[in-house]
Amino acid sequence: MNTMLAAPITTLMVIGYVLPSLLMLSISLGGAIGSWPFAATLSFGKYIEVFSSSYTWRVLVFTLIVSVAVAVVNALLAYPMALYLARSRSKWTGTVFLIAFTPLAVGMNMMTMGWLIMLGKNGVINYALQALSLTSGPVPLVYGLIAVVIGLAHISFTFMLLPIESVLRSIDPAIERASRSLGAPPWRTFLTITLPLSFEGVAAGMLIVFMQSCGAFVIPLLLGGSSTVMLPVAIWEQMTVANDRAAGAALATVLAVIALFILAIQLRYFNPRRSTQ
Amino acid sequence: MSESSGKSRWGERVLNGYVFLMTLVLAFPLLVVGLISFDTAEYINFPPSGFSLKWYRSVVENPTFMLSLGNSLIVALASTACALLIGVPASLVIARGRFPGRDLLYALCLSSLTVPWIVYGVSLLFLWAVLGFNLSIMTLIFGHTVIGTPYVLRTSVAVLADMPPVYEHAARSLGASPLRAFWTVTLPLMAVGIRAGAAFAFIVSIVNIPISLFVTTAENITMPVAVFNYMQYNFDPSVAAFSIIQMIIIAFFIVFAVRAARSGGVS
Repeated sequence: MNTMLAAPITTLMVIGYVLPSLLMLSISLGGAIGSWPFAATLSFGKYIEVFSSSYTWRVLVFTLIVSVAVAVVNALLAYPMALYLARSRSKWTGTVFLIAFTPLAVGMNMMTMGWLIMLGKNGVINYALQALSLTSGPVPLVYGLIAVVIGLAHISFTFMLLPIESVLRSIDPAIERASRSLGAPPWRTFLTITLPLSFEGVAAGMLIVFMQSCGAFVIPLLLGGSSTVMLPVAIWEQMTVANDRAAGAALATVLAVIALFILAIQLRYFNPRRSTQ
Repeated sequence: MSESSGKSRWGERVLNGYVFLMTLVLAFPLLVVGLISFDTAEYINFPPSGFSLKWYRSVVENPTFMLSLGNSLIVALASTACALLIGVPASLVIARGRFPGRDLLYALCLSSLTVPWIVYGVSLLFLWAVLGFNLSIMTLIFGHTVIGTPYVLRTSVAVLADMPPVYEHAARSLGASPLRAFWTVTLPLMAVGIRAGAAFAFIVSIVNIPISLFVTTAENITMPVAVFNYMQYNFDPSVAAFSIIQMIIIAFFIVFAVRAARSGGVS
């Protein structure tokens, strides 16, 4: 096999991934656009400046808390559906799969638009609430925490569903049959056999969803407001509104470090190669 | 025993009901976008007040939208083609070859899938600034190729890993050249992975906002960025109409990619 076939991808990844990442790091450490790869004297000044602002801490903590919340909510919402997809012999499983895949393919604009129509002042939910006389006027649902969590949960739902479904599918049905034949009722078989065996899928899904939420940009910007700024929105603000490239680079480096940390956990505990060996 | 199976059927019904509800929740926001795109009202309002195609007409008559539609198709098709040309050959040596740095290269490619797109947007902007390149449709295609190629690589390597190399060995021992063995044996067997990778590369390009946002200009603006810019200041059903157009394009491409790969793989 000709090793030269790997040359184009190596070039692509070095120029398009490694070099830009190093440039970002360099600029966050005080390098100027003209002097690369690294400034003569590395300076942590920008990081100190960024992290001495309470706004940065608020954004960072908010990003992490919301992402954990989205991961937990999605695990609870996706588990029963994964169980259905892994076990049911219904002819509808194909349709359910198709709909579960739509968040990946329709784009953020459509997802945002959909939830703005659902949650807006003149939207579907407010219409239903007023039609049922549950409220007299429109309830504020959008441009806040609720809308951001719902939007993020929807865009990352597939990433929770698939790992759980594949783990549930791989559980040997004989184990569950054994439990049943020894007299355990279905709920007990589920709680003591199926659920513990599927935790690996749940944990893998939660890590991916957590990272998806940390890196989400359009949903927190358009469905949220000034109280729901998440890290990617803060990066965008620094780069465009404040026009402070070094601060943008510092925050983007923080986000990249979070991503690589999550990746390290994935490789350590959920390495697919390890389980097949 | 009968009590137990009765309970299990009851549990199954609850599960089916839940999945039905959840499917509705997942589909409903997208269905209402379709509904609102045909509305007659000037602002977004539920229920819609009538049926018209005027928002689709406003999309077609909006020069920025139509420019961005063309740009998006060019960028998505070109970056998918580049991702296939770079990713498929690389998958062969990564799955079959032995060379120093192979695992490092594969880990590097896969790690790039974890990095949020906005980080790429920022860092690619720095790259072009340092290299002194003007932002153009070429820099955009390059950026989308960088994020698309690892998807092609991953799906192709996955297919190759499940495929015993004996088929290629048989072709080679019957006298086929390496290129011919690849073209007539390996490539058709890889079709399922290649078409999945192509679909991923196309989708991540055509829906991408965070990378394109930083490296587009007024001339090379892409469809999702145009809609995103519009949505920041306007909230009318034309965005719904445009989202539906985008969805149809994506669906069309995926069906086309699946058909083409299937007929190529079978014949």
